[in-house]
Amino acid sequence: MLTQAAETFRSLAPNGVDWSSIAPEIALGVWALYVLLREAFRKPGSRGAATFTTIFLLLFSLLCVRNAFAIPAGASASFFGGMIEQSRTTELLRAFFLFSGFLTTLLGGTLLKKQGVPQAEFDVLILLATAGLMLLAQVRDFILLFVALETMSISMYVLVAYIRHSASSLEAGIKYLTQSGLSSALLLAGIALLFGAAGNTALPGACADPFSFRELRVFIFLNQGNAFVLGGAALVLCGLFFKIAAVPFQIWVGDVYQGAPTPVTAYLGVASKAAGFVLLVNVVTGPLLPLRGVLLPLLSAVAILTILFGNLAALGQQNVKRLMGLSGIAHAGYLLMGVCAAMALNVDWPIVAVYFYLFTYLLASYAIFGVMSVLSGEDDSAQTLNDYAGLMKRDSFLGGILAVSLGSLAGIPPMAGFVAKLFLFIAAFTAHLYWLAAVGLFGVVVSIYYYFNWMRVAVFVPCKTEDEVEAGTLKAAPIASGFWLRTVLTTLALITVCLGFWQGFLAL
Amino acid sequence: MHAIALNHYLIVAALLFATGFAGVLVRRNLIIVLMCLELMLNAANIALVAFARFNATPEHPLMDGNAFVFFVITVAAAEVAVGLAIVVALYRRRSTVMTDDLTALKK
Amino acid sequence: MIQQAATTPETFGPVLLQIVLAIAIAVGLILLSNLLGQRVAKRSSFSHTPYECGLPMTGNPHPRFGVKFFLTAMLFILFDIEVVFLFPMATVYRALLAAGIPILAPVLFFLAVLGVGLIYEIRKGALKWEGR
Repeated sequence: MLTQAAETFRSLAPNGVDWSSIAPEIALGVWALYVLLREAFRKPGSRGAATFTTIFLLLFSLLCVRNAFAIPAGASASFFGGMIEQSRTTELLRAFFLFSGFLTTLLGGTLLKKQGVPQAEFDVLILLATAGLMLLAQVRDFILLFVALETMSISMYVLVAYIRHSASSLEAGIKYLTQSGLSSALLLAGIALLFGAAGNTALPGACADPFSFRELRVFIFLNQGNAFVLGGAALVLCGLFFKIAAVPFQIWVGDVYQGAPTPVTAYLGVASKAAGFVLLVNVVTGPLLPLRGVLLPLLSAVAILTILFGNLAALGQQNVKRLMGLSGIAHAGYLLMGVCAAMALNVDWPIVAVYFYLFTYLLASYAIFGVMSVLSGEDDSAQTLNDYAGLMKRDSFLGGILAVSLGSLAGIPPMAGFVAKLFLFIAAFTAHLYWLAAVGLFGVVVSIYYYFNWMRVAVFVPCKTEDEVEAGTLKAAPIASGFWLRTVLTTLALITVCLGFWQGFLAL
Repeated sequence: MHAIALNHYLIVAALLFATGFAGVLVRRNLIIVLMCLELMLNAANIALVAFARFNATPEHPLMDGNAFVFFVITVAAAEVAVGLAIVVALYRRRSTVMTDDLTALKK
Repeated sequence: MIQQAATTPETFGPVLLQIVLAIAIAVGLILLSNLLGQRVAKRSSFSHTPYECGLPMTGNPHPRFGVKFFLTAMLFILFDIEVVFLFPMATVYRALLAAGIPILAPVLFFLAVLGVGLIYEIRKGALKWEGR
């Protein structure tokens, strides 16, 4: 009995367990523990470890980029019995999540002080969520997928409800928790169905490890019509659609984006959505690829609905956080277009296009949310377009950052967003998804309207009088913002412009 | 008398899951919504354990199905702890635990 | 199926017994308290209000509920559940050692994480009953 069990373990991990493969995630966890301990023993009035955390995340992100290019392109390695697979792409995704964690803690430093809530626990939660996201980039197994996804989600529930004295933040938190919990349960039910079908020895190609993506793919290929397989696949996709906020799982977006503290909104909109897409790409081009005949029409329909809903809902929106959330749904639609193309063509370059789009989306979104958190007053959730009137005159620096980033989101030529959208449309055309591309083009045209409306308000609408500024939620000029925040926002905008001109490093 | 087979467990799991799902969508009391979420996760747990038991062979013991359940239990506990904490904080501010009264975030 | 004993409905006899017992105890206690407990005057609805001094109540009739109970219960759930991971570790400890996979250090690390959480709670005063 003992030797048999030992034999099983040995077959699971032939080279032993290599903890060093997830050293970055462990380091994040240990740092989070350190921040927590330091906060517990901090004397009132003394400073916490917030600055160090921010620097730590930035350095780690750069380190991961360096590591990524040390790995030869196309090479990949498996760890933990195939649960984790690492390649240059996963290493770059790790850097992506670390970078968005860095930006979130930086914005958090600006905003939390205004709201009068402590920052140490915020940083701890961001660190833990980032560790979960980094694992999600590398998972090739449904157990780890669920655990890492929930690590991220549970940290996120607390982060959304972080401003304890604000009813809107708490309300957003409980709304996010119930709906995200529902989607996790659906995902789990789907995993259970796939596990049940794939472990059944009466079916051809039954798996020894029914959770592993590789074995499941073979099994699903042999049993494409099985009801359990189809139901499981559908439920798993439902769970992932929630994370990327695709129609019909987008109901939570408006309220949660509005109520969450601005840095958390940015983190939800960028990192959490990116994680959803990484998982979706890995699942539909991995274990579920044999079901392409059923899934491609489904995903295309979802993409069309998502693009239409996001753009039309964002049209009349006055609250800027809701506007970002609803237009973010439309961006998820464009990204789904790339996923569909990747599935239809069964090649890698549309996936690279999707990841590139996510990166440009990160740059533009964080710049805009950065401007938002500088401008926000007492009530974080009540910023409207009117608060941006005359921004260009009052602070041309913030106005410029806003203009560049909005241009990038709208897809205006010199910015990175244009090139990224172009790649996705080329992918859709190459895959003969003409209807999808047509709806996408319509969506882009609509989106130009509301993004430019925002820009118009910032540039042409005259500045409010001093009295109105006093009455409104906006702080009077000059707008205070830290040196480092300004530097980082400038860098983001610069990268946005540079990537618009040069993207030769992409292996498209 | 018939032996209790995989299907019986799956039917129980499906019923529990449906109850939870309907509860989350229909009920207005947040505490009950949280309970329904737990119900759904535990329904999936029953299915996992039943599958792991009935599909196991001496060559493929399928222990990872059982191991997964431990993780799900932990996740469920963490989720409900956070949920209750938010509900308590919300109750202190708004003196309500009904979803109909959550109206701070209307357009 | 490995070494499966035949699971027939009879196998679940004890479960049925437990369900019956649980219901019986619950119903029985309510009945008993009705039978043996003090009788309240049933006619006047005023006898159910907190103060019988003739004036209508002011303020919230519901008592402030003790958040400390909640807090302690939630913390208990979390720490209680974590033990779930120690149990499988204990059952396969020898097998893992035989397979040459070090397990003690990761488990100690896991316990250290819980310990840090506990220290944080104590320092933040989450386990204090008096004061606040």
